[in-house]
Amino acid sequence: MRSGADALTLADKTLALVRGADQAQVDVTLSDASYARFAGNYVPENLNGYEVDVNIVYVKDKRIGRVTTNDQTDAGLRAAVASAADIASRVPANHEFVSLPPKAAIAAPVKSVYASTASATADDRVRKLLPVFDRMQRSQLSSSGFTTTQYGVYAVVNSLGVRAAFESTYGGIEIKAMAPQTSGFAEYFSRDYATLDSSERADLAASKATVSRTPEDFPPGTYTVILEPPAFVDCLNNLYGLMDAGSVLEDQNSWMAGRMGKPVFSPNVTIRDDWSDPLVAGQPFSADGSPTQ
Amino acid sequence: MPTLHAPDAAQILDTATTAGADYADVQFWRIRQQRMAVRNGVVRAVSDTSSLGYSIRSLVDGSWGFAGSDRFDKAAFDEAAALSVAIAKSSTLVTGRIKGVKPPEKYVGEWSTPIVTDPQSVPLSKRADHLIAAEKAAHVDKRVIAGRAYMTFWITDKEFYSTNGSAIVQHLYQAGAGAGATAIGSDGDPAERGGPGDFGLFQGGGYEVVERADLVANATRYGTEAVQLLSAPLLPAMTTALILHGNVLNLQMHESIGHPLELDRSLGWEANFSGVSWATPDEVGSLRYGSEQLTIYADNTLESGMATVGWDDEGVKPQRVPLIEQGILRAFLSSRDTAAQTSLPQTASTRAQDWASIPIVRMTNIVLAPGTGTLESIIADTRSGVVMEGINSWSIDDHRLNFQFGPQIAWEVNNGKRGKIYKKPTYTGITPQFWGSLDRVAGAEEFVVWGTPNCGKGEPEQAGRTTHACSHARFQNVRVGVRNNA
Repeated sequence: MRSGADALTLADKTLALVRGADQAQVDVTLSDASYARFAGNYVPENLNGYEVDVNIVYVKDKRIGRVTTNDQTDAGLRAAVASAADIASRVPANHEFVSLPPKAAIAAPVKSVYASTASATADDRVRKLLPVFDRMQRSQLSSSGFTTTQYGVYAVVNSLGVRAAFESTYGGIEIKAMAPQTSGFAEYFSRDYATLDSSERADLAASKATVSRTPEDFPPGTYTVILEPPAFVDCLNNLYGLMDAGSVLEDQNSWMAGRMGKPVFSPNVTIRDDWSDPLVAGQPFSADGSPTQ
Repeated sequence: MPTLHAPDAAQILDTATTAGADYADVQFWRIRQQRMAVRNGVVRAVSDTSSLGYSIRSLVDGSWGFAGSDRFDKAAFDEAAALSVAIAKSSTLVTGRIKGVKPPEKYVGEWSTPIVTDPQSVPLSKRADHLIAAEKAAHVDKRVIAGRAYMTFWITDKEFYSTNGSAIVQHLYQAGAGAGATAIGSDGDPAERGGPGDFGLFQGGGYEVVERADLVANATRYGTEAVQLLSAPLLPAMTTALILHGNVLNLQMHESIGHPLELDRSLGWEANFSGVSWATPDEVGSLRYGSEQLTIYADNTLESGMATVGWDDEGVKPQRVPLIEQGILRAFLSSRDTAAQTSLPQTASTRAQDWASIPIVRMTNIVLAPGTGTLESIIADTRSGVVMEGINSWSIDDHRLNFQFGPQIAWEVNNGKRGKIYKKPTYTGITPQFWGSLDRVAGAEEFVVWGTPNCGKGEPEQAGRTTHACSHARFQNVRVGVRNNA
């Protein structure tokens, strides 16, 4: 299986095996991910993992069974569907369940697959690292990090007519340049691995580590702090859990609970969920096949 | 010994050798994970995930290549074997690299986790009834707005083969269960209680682990204490004696002993993701990690340990290795390659999350040697202090030195007796000073094998299942509480 069309075919085939359900959903995930992980200016971990998972949701009288398998044989898929139906027949009804999403128009994805990433070899990845190691050695630094190339597919179909697939590639590098008392960080990620200039990234990480070789104590106090994007992204990532609508509404376990429409941050902060941003072209539908807005 | 995949393994190892591997091994995994969760009376998540795949490691001129695949035909076997060798060869493009070790051992054997009750023999309806009863028990008061109960089982069959002639079959069972309650008062401030451990009780074993978690009784207590916390004051800032229940202490061990003693971390291999270590191999035998009360073992033979196996994922047989003896650093958790770099003992701590993940150094089972007495006897022996239980939050720096933990609940201790409850307690410390202040460890009668099901490590990140077995302990002169009790 090497495409969104293949994944849809597998999902359709599995959905056709479902009998007796009020509603059903099948989603298929393909992950083909390679990493060259480095430390001490060499590569102790170098790997590829390839996996296809088929996930079945079987709904009968609001009783829900979920089964995931990577057995793509006819017998394996049949057994998985039967197991999902069996679970649904044995568990209590979930009265919170409303419905799987109906068929709806889904926007065409922006370009999200690049051959430079999908076809990158182990040699390609290590050759991206050689200038990193060279730069570190010239500055008497040690480096730690990874470079990765990934190809993935997600496809979902359901008994109400939802049918969608998304293919993407992703690649990049993280570099931590280190010496006693100092370190410097740089990263780059893109759908297109060809755009990665590892020499430039290594230079950035090494430069940061070099200028801070003889650090001085930083007195505690109140300062204006400027965060570069990788650090700022970490802050944002910590917000997403607080903004999980289901959790906030149900358990009130966020300081944002009850603050809809009220100020929560500086007026300078606007966060938008935008799958179509070309910087990280995203999936135009959610995991259950609902159109992403 | 059933060896279902021996012919496939022979083909894979032959292909890898022909392609240039000096050594290769392949491990077949059949993984099954079953989960069920109940929230507010509704069985919300019932899932059954199964996966069959294999991982191939090839060693070429001292460099490892790894390929994981779930494609089961002869062409796919050859393709994956050749890919693992090609990946290994790519690493040899780097000059001045440290070379991996060709494994010398050959093992042939079979091992199974001892279980009392096979989870597969327990019907889904019985599991649901158990969780519904536990969750219901948490609702002791209308201010409990959410109750939770859950259980998870992992059943993993592995077959490991190597070009050395190793043929190892393992059947692993792991299980866990937990419950919790969220209460909200009139001020909208929530209080959380849950357990029994930081994520529940997770151990190696079958359905008996769920029964051991005693969910109904515990959920009643969590609901009651969550409501009590609504009217409790914040713990004021002070330096005092701190008594940690084992369900907090085990996470403290995880973060400030287990992780810093992972040898790959100490050697810098984890520096980019989850940090390095303040402890280094050259300090073995001399570094004072803690007080004389502190003795820690790596024991991957531990009964009920989540990481207990017959062999690890590079085919090394586990043993009991002292990591810290009476406060002095003695060893690290290691793989073959990291042990070889340091001449320290192997601890069979190389594990992978699944067949698609490369085996890396893992915490596996660490054990705090018990002392004497019960928790209540330690409290009775304390003139002034605080007892803390349950986990809400924690953080620690990238050298595993400075930390802050936020347990769920605290009780003051006055003249040997528990006093009032405090909400949102915290404590802070620096690893060697904190463990240096350890002056009491409870006895074997309080010893619990606490597991964690989701320890994150590696790039790509893997979730490991680890154990930190302990009883309870007391620390002197610890900074607790918040500075402003407003």
